[in-house]
Amino acid sequence: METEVLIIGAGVTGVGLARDLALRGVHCIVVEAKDINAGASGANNGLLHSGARYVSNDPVSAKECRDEARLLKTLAPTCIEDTGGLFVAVAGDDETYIAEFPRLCARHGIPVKELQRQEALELEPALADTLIAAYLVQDAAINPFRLSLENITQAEAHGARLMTHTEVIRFELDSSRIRAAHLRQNNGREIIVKPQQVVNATGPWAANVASLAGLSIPLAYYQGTLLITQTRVTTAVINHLRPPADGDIISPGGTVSLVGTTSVALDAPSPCRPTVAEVDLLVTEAAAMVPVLGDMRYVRAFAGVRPLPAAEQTTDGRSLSRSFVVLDHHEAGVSNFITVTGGKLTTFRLMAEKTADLVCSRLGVTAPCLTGTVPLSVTEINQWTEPGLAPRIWLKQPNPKEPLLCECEMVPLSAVDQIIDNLMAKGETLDLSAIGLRSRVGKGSCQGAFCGFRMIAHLYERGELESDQGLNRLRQFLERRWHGLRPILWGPQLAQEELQEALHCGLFGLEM
Amino acid sequence: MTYSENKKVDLVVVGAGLAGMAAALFALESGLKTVLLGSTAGEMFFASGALDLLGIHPIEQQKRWEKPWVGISSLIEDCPEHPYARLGLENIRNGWNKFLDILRRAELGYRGWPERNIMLATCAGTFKITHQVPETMWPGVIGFKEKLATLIIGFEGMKDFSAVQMVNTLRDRWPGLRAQRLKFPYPLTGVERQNVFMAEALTSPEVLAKMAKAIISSLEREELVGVPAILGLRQSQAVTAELERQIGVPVFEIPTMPPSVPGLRLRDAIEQELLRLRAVLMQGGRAVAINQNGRKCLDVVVQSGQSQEAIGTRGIVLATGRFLGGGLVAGRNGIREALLDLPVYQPEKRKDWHLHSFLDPRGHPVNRAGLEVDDLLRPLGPDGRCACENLFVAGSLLAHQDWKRMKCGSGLAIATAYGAVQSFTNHC
Repeated sequence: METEVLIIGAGVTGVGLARDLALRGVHCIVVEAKDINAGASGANNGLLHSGARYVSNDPVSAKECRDEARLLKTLAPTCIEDTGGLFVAVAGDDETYIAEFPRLCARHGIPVKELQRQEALELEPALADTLIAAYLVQDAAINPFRLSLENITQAEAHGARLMTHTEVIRFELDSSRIRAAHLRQNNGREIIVKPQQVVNATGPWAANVASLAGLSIPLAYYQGTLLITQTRVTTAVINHLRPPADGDIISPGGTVSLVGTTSVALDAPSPCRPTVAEVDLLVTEAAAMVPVLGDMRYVRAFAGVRPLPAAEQTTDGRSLSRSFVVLDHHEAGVSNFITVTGGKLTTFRLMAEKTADLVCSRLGVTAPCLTGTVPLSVTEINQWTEPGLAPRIWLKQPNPKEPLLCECEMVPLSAVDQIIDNLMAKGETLDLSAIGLRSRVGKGSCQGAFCGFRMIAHLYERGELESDQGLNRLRQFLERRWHGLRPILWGPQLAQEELQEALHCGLFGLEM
Repeated sequence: MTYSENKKVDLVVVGAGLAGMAAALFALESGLKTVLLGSTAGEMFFASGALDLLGIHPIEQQKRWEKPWVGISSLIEDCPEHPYARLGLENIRNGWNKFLDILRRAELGYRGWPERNIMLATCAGTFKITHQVPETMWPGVIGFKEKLATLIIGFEGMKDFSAVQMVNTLRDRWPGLRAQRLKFPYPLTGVERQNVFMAEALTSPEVLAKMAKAIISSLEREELVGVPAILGLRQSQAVTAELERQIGVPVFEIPTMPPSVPGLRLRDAIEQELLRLRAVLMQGGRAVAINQNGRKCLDVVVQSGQSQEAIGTRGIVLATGRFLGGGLVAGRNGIREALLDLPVYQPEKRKDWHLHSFLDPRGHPVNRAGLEVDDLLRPLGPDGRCACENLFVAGSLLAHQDWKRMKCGSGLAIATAYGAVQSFTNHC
């Protein structure tokens, strides 16, 4: 198999790069060890930063965020809810920092408006009455799943190819370049790709992939954990107005809110699992801004790993820049190999552009970058990632004959069929997580206890599963959801877990 | 709040899951004036309808017991704190047998082998280890044992049951299975409580006859037919018999995802029996407090809608269940008993509540949390002595058991209900 560019990693950077190159007429193949957004791209607070968060300690990121957020709001509005954002301080917060904030925003050209206490409370009634300062900024919420799916959909429409569940196992190197990449798919099949250029866009796994080419990249790893509430608590993004710390951000995600994040140093990019200690910290910190979060029902926690380019690891990595790096490995002796890592969801397009510029200059391609002007595609099949969409459709036009496969999120069977057909057409793996990431199935309060079983039953009815394959798929799915459930099991969600265990162990004996 | 001495009863049972209902039955049988508090809609709705006694012990080794009573003896020896050990073998046997007698009298047929467990095929294609199953499930138990050629029926649009899944998953262990999907002979809705809706539809002879006809035309050489457990609500045996008569081969029901129709039948049968025995059922009532005088409970304060009343009583059985039932309340920093704030045995920290794998065979430590009791099943107070002389605990609220993993849920509910009532009768 030959291609101009082999992109490793289908996070938002990888698929963003694929789209950028495809729009310039460059052929590329994206290989991904798991599935789209399997790493940090699918485990973040879905926040389109206005840049205000970084004004005090990371001006480069602040400016990048400012410009990219503006651009994405016009080019990818379907993926964005323009919620606006608030920076709020409560009694006890550093007043010098508060006073400095609007000045810093102004210096970096980031629009900010001071709000009177009463105004802020009217805008966001859930805010604590210990509020002492509030500033309005242009933060927004972005759906990272829709974003990545649209990027790859549009890339594919322009000739790019995606291979999920395909891992790079080794590179064939000659004196100065990667001649071929050996890939292994999860069915055991091995494939050899001969690319002209190779881009390593594997986020926190960048050092692992680079080592396959005999290179070393200094990366520091920080786990960030977030919580998902059962219901949405604020209209806008709420940021804590203080130097970046844990539990600073409450961001809306359609029908829910996300509370994040922590920053815990790790030795390696995996395993990363949310812990009880992180969850407790987040609840306490977030409740200081929005008290109702202290008694909220949380449906899940999740964690991602931030790869921060750094020589040395600090305790929490807060002081390291959130900007990105494009590493040209030419000087290290591998002339057709580039690594892009670091950065933020908000700046993914810019990262892709800078990387694509380098790739194109090497390929001798002169076509300009189009991602700054061409709108992102809007595809029907990708709409099911949108929280609250299925209930809205259902309420507008209830169809009592159509079974809902997922009752929590009201996902109809036909939507799931559409997703399965699409996955099958592309020859992708039909596991429950693949369906889950392309829809809202398994994301409601039952967390897959009911709909997980239903999806398996449905796959059997369609003839996609045979013998006892379904049992292992179900076990895998339940175990994967468990990582996110375990640390938030108290109150009603623990009762929900008890029901799930009564069902899956008491009735079905899946642990036996 | 009103309080009248003439309202005084012998026993108030708080909680109307299987344990609470069984306790009320045992109490009424011994002639006690009994009030049963709480709605039965909760956990019974999710119960499979099969009655487990003991399937696995020790769970860490996943040792399965074909003979549950031998397993119980071994459990009693290994785990002196398990509620079964508190009760002793004889109490467990007496309670269990008495409960089955009551079901027989209520004309809800149950079947099993006297000393052996049953392997009951579920709709997931797995087997549930249990001890007694509804009569309507029994031909399936025999069918699996003898590997009979069997037709499994599924219905279009029934989203929690796939005959294809069951047949495929069981293929190696039950080779004579074949799946057939039929159109349900009555308009189906996609909404919740689908199983109950279908069961209700099949109580109509016309609908049943249509279904029989469809099954007949899909039968090949099969000697047995399995259908999801939706063959009628109350009169399931009659509905099943009629279906068998029309299609000419034996029929059995297969346990499904909740809502469980066999669970509802069990609840209804017990409820009828309770009413026949003149129990006072306060289904809308919720116990909000218990007034005590020293180590003696005097009454239970019951909230019904806006009004509160205190029911004077000689004794109380607490059968409020765990987190789902509301007997235990878990906060971020610990687990409390909901009604009296009795001490709860629990892991020291929340991080130790659950293991890192959901299906870890050792079972999650939090499952063993609950109330610790003395040999009379009276909960222990903070001082380690019995908290109240006339307060007894039954069911899953008890500590030191993991019923979901040990497959002992019904046995635990029934035997501890029996033990609690025995203790009350003998000591109060």
